Amino acid sequence: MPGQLALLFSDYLIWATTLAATILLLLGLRNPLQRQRWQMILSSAPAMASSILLMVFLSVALLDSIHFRPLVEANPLEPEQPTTRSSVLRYAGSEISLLDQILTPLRSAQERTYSAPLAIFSYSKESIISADGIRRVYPRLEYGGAHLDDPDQHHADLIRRSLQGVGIGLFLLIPLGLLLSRVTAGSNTGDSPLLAWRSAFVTLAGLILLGSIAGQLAGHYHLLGTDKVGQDVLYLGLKSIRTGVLIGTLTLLIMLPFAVLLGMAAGYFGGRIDDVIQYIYTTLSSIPGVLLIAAAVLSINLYLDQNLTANTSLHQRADLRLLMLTGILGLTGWIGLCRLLRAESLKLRELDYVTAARAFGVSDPRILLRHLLPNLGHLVLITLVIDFSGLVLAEAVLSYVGVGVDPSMISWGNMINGARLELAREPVVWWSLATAFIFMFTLVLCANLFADAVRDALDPRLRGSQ
Amino acid sequence: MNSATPDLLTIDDLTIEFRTPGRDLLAVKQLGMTIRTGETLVLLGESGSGKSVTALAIMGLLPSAGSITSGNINFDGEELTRYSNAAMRNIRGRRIGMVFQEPMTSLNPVMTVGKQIVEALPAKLRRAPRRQIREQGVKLLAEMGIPEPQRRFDEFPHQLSGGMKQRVMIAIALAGEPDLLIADEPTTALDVTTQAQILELLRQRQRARNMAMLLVTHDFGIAAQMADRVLVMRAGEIVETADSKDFFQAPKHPYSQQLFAALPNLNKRGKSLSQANQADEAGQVTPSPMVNSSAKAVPQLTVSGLQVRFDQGRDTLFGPRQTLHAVDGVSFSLNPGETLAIVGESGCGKSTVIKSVLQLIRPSNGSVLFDDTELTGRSQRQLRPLRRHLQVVFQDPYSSLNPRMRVNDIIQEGMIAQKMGGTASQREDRVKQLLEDVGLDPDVGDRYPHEFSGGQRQRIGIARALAVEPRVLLLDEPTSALDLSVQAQILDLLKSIQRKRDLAYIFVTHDLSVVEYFADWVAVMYLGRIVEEGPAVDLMTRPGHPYTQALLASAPAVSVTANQNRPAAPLPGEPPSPLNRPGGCHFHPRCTYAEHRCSTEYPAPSELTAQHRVSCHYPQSIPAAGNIGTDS
Repeated sequence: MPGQLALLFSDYLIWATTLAATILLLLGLRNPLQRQRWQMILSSAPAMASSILLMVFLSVALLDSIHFRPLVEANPLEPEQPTTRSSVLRYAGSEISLLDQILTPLRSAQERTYSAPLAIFSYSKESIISADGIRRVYPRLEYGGAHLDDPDQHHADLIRRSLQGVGIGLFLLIPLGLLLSRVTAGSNTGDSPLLAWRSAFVTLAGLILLGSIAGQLAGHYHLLGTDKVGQDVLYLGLKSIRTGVLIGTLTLLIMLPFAVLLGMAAGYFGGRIDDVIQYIYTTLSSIPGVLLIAAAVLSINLYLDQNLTANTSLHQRADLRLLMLTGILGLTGWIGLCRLLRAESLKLRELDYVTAARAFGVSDPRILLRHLLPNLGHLVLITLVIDFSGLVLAEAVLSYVGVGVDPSMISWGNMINGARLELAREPVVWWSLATAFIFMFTLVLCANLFADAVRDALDPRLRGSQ
Repeated sequence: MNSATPDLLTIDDLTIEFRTPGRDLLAVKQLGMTIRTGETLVLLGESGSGKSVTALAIMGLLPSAGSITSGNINFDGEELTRYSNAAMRNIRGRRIGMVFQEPMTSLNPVMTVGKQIVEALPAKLRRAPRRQIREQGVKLLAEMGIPEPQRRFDEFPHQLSGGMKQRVMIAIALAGEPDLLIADEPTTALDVTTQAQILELLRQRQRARNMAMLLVTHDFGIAAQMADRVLVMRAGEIVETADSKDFFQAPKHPYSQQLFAALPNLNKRGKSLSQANQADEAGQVTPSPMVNSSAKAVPQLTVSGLQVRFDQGRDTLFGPRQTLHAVDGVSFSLNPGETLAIVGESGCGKSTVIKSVLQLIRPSNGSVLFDDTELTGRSQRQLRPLRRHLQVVFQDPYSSLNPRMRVNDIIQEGMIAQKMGGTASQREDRVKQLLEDVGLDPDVGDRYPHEFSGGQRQRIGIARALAVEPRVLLLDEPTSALDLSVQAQILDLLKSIQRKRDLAYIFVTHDLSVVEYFADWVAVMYLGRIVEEGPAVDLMTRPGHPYTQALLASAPAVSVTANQNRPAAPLPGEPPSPLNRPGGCHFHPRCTYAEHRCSTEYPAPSELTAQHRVSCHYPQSIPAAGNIGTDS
């Protein structure tokens, strides 16, 4: 690590969540029935493709969740002090993430203002003082296509680099193909459903080809253009993944205990407990959601402004705001799942194995834990995957309205918000909006497709119809 | 049958395959059969034998995974396997009618009964004026023995009882005036008295229309009562085809003989049912203790005046709260090593008795004494140490085991909750022992319930109950969901466990043949009360209460001759709702012997013989017709 590790609070949370989910999944896979169901999920082509894409999104988010303070390079102007050198390493004041480190070429290649995708000239005219006097021209970009001496080589260079990218991609495909055919050859035995390996290969191949082309181009051009202050839009799009994934997963994490505990308690115990819980959620759900969120976000902002000490960095502040937002979304979002779990618990409570446990004198908490919770797992999973995409979209809407994440935080909502005014310009600045849209669309579509496959495999009501 | 009557339906070499992920299943293998006009053919077999698939194939209603891979279905000169779906539509309903098992889901809940019947009328009738169509529908309802057909015509399915719905289903099936009626387990979801009515209706309609009928069933009694000819199916193949009379006198195929041996009845009391061990065990089995000897024994469980009421809402704004009397003053006592059977139709409160004895539903009144310890009125904490003495086995082997738990954990659950069985490894040994006791491989503890068949799951359920060494086992229809041969094994298992451990059983069931075979004592329940109780043999051979007599007469006997000389449908009507019980003797509206006194006061129990008590003002001591000892 080229610096001092400085994990943000949300970093801990997302890593812990990922770890916990992985462990739960592995534990679940020990049950052959569960294993068979996951095999069923992954035997559908869309599910396989979408789960691979989701994995890619998740790994980008995880990479972006290892923050550290980079080592500040020794300033050559300052006199060197060899005696204290080992003890006084100097770190920058603000954190960057591992992803930032990897994307340094993109991050540091900052233009002055807008530029179109793959352009080598700026979007707007500037006055250039030359020997002939002041001219209004489209200046060459500082980084985009800076290696080209002659602007006429632009197209040829683009084509050459793309072809190079394709070549590298195809080269990388060979080991992938070999590896997958090896794996599938082993798994083809037995009567378990065949996993959708072909779909996995196609998805990975597409990703690799796109990635290698982008890799060839992105170092020398702004693949998706730059925004108002000249930041690379591809970089912004990639950075937004963490925000989206974080909002999705952390909100789910917060709503999960409410929904599961209250839903199970309402369904299993019934009576007064049921009445109280139903009262709470019907009240909550009758308050307009956006209003409630806006009010909460505004008051939290006020609180943060008043109570934050000077030494919290900009990042930490934005991070806190993000966590608060997930908290609020979580507090308003558990109702749907809670209702569902209550209904299912009402049904499970009457099943014979629960009656048998009661006849043994098994205590209520133990019945909830051993008999109800495991049998609600599929409902929870289905709902979580569906809710995830809703939350990613909610972030965009809330940030657009201005009550979402911190304006300094890179997110799809903020990108869209920044781009909306520029849609009226001529020629249109479409690339920020389009990038945010494509990234968000891909993530949400994947989540939805995956949710469909999960539901097909786990929902007993659908099973008969296949 | 008269061989001069032409063949209506001829099936040749029919093979049906089901494609499932993994492998293809052969559901029906090279099946051949014929049905003649006016004849009833019974397709008899256990679950999974392919009998329903065959019926669906005739109708062209196979599920999408199934397909006919070879063979012909020739119906009155038309080759049905070659017909398209559109062409089949002219056959279905018009020429072949079908009645399904589940009347609750076969009717559309948002359409009136009348509309659904009219829909099925032949095209030429549907073009008639509205009034005429309605008349036709009402006439059909009346033919089905539905009272007040004019009113019923405009009612929705939920306003009808199960038996009525099945009558409507038959009306719909017959509306198109078909030549062949296919009935797929038409009475399996119904109570025995209603079943008798529906079977009688089917027979009567068939005779009136000279229709051919294909009846699919697993029930030997129904087959004996209805069939002209019988086809026995097993694993997609026909193993025996015979005239009904010959079949029920002397089945030829070993599989049929095995099934006959598995049928429980009075004559087999004390003998093993599963043929495999019948020979070597028959000698050692001592007849179960006869009732007289146990009279002085100290009762293990004494229930007196047990009442369970559920408060319902008010009927009108200021009306009184309605109360559902699920169990109303039930008393019995049970000695160690004996079996008390509680018999009754659905809704009579027999399962509620079990739950309230276990204190899972708190009784509103009455006492449950276990070994002189009062169970009612105790807190959950006080009850916990007592719970191990009373355990329960359920009807449905699929919902009684948690699908997410291993067999090991399932069986250990009770031991852990009761803090018994010692260390973890001692408990595991105990699980192995228990699995062996119930006839399973002791090494299956690591598996999950879905890896077992219904009968094996029931064995696991029994092992789970036995794990805490109970003194009383409450069996809630433990064999109703099982096939005949599996039922025989489970009953044998229960018998041997009872002998070894001197357990007392409360056996709740609606199946009278199991009661005859299994029980020492019988209590018959009607609308929350015990109407008759007594020693099993005495009560089953000389029933005193008219309801018991009707129950016994309704159950079809597994014998053609016995079915010929008995009333067709012994008990008219259906049990009233427990929310709205008739005053006096609850049974009086359906009772043939009822007099004025019956509608005003509930009869006190009177003794017929020493321990045989009947709650009836005019106890009839006539031997039940037909059912007993006729099939030997």
